[in-house]
Amino acid sequence: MKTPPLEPIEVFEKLSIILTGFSKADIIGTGMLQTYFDTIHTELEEGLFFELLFEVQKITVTNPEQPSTDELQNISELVSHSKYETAISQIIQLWYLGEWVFSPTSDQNYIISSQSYLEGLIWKSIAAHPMGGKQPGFGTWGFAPLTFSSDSTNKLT
Amino acid sequence: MSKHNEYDVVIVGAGISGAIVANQLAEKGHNVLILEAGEKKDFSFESYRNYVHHFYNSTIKIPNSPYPQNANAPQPLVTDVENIEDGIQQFNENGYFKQYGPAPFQSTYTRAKGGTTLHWLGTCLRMLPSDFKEYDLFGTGKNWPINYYDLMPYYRMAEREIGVSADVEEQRYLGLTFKEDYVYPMTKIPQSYLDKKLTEWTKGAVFNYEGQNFNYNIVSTPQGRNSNPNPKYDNGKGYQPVGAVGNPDLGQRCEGNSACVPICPVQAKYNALKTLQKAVNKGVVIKAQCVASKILYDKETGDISGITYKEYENSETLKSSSSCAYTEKTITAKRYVLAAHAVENAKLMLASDFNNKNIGQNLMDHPVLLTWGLAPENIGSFRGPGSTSGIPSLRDGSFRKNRSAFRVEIGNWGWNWPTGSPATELTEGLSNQLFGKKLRNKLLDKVQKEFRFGFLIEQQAIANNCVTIDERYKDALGNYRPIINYNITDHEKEGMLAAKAFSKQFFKTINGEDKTIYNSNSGGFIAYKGEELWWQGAGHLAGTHIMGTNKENSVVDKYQRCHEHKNLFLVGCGNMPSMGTSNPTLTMAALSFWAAENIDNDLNQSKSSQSEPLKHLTEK
Repeated sequence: MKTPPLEPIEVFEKLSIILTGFSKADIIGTGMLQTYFDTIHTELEEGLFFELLFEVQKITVTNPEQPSTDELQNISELVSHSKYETAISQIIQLWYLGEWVFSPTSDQNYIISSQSYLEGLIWKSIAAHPMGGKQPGFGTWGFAPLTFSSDSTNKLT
Repeated sequence: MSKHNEYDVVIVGAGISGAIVANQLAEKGHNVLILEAGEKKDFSFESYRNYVHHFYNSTIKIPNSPYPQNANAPQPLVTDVENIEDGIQQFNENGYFKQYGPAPFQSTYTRAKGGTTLHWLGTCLRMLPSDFKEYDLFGTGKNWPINYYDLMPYYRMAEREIGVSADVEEQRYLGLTFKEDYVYPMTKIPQSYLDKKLTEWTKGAVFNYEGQNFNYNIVSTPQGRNSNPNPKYDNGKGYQPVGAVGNPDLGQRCEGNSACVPICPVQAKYNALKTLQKAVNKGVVIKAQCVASKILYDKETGDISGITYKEYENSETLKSSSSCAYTEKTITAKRYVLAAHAVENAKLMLASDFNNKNIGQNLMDHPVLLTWGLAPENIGSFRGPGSTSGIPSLRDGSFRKNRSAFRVEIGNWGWNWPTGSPATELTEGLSNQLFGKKLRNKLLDKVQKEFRFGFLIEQQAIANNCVTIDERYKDALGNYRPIINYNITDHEKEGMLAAKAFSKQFFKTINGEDKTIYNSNSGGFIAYKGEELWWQGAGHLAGTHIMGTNKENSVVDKYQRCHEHKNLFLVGCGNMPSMGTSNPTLTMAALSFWAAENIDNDLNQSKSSQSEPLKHLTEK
């Protein structure tokens, strides 16, 4: 049976899951997928975004939340490919910071919206909450952190 | 000019000092007007939320990031100081200050209704009794004309107004005493998990420096943020926490938003809007978008005859630095109060040709030496108020003859201040082409162990650290821009050396990793006696119109009244001849209560046309 080709936004969702290391639920839960798709489409040079998505589509990833070693290897090659390297770094920063980063020191960088800042995945990745949002409640800072210990048994795989 | 004064008192500035004076005097039945340089803003919660959104959308989340720049009433930014090139510190000429150095002045303040309490951390330490007589005890710094015991009742008023959370028993150290049976309005803010682990890991250890031992006791910091009310407060009457202005059910407790500086989204942290709203309810009038530009006075008697201000119309043209439309007006009152901030007060008096040589001199801050490292295990950084504890043992001692005292502030937000973590950690991970779960693991492992110290170094009042004005440097309304001359003395550098040694020993003691690395191009970097040091500003600007015993050594007397202008009172940190190692807002607030009492007495005495001296200070 032939699988129908994926819509560009579906490929982007898949790519986002692999690049960020977060689940589909996390990605969808930010509510930012379509906005980020549009931002990247606007900001990257003509055609580059769709060429990247085309490359990703060629790498068959059965389950983007648990990519196989081979699949990861193929993605790694894209990440270090001189053509896509910068764009991929910008996409990851968009998801992690809610910000379009031309370069870390550029004064052209901009936050997409209040929501994108609050949904920045970086806060979840450090087991915290965005500074100034998603308040965890009185006294919670005195509790032991809800986090994975750095020993390998609890590592994310 | 009309001889009829519509107002009893005109106050310049709607920050915490102006708000307290206005509220106290309105309480006593006086007509009060406040001139505020910042934008017209109502007391709605929506209005405040705009600041929060401005913060979310700022790429650089510096202390003034939520509060838009206003060409009519500009404010300094920490980013006005640029990196060193060719060995010379660069001062951004587009910034509000004109800086002559030689050291960078990196502290800022906010010119908006509510003032700098909009972005303060909320630390409410009382000054130590020894801080008030430092010259007598150590032969350095300056004495105050009043002492700790004089100020005690006013500290209590300030702690009520701000709503301070602390455990009084933990605060009795280094000579600090409290009225018998006193408790703070609210129980202490819970200490962070980091504070608790550091307490555990340093148990029994001491810091040895120059033959002296100092303990590592980690003490909860009194804070101006809402905790649980203490039922024992006020002889068993208790205390009602004050929530957000325009939304009082919100902010009844600190909810751990981890953004006290630059903005508490729920206003569980005190800001002066809370006091201003009470004042307005009592009839105080706030005229915003009115920038005081000159104080008029009688050259014979010294009496103030009015304050000239520029009222600008459109706050929408704020960003442009081109000239703005304004109307110049003069207002008169029976008494005048400058509460515009240490730098702005000094600038205004200099612009008005006051002839007291101390005006503008003795500018102080707390240079903050930053060090940082990794804890031996995950401590859950980036949670809770910016700091919940400190180490006070080096705030006082005979060593103050030779070097500055300091207070150790323990930071709960990882390396956010010194390095810009966690965003910079992400950049580093990406430069190693990490992605996916490897990237997440890397961030988690590193950032969860991060913490930092801030060593708040006592700075002494010296004449050469000063604010001046110059015809060549003016803002869009034609008002003067402050000119800053600033340096760090060897006394302070010796304090920084001790702080650096403390940090090194501390990380060894807890088996942590000291990761402090300074960028020699960064503002505030110095090499001293073979050690690299790097300090930042604390935003604790003080001392530009200090109090003292006569006009030769000071600008105001102990009643906070100008020696040479009997109907003019000054309030704010500018009155402080020293600030020890305490963040100065609480002391400033206490002095504002004291000033309000003196102004009230003065107005009442002039009503009964008797010229009795102001009430004498005594501890009750």
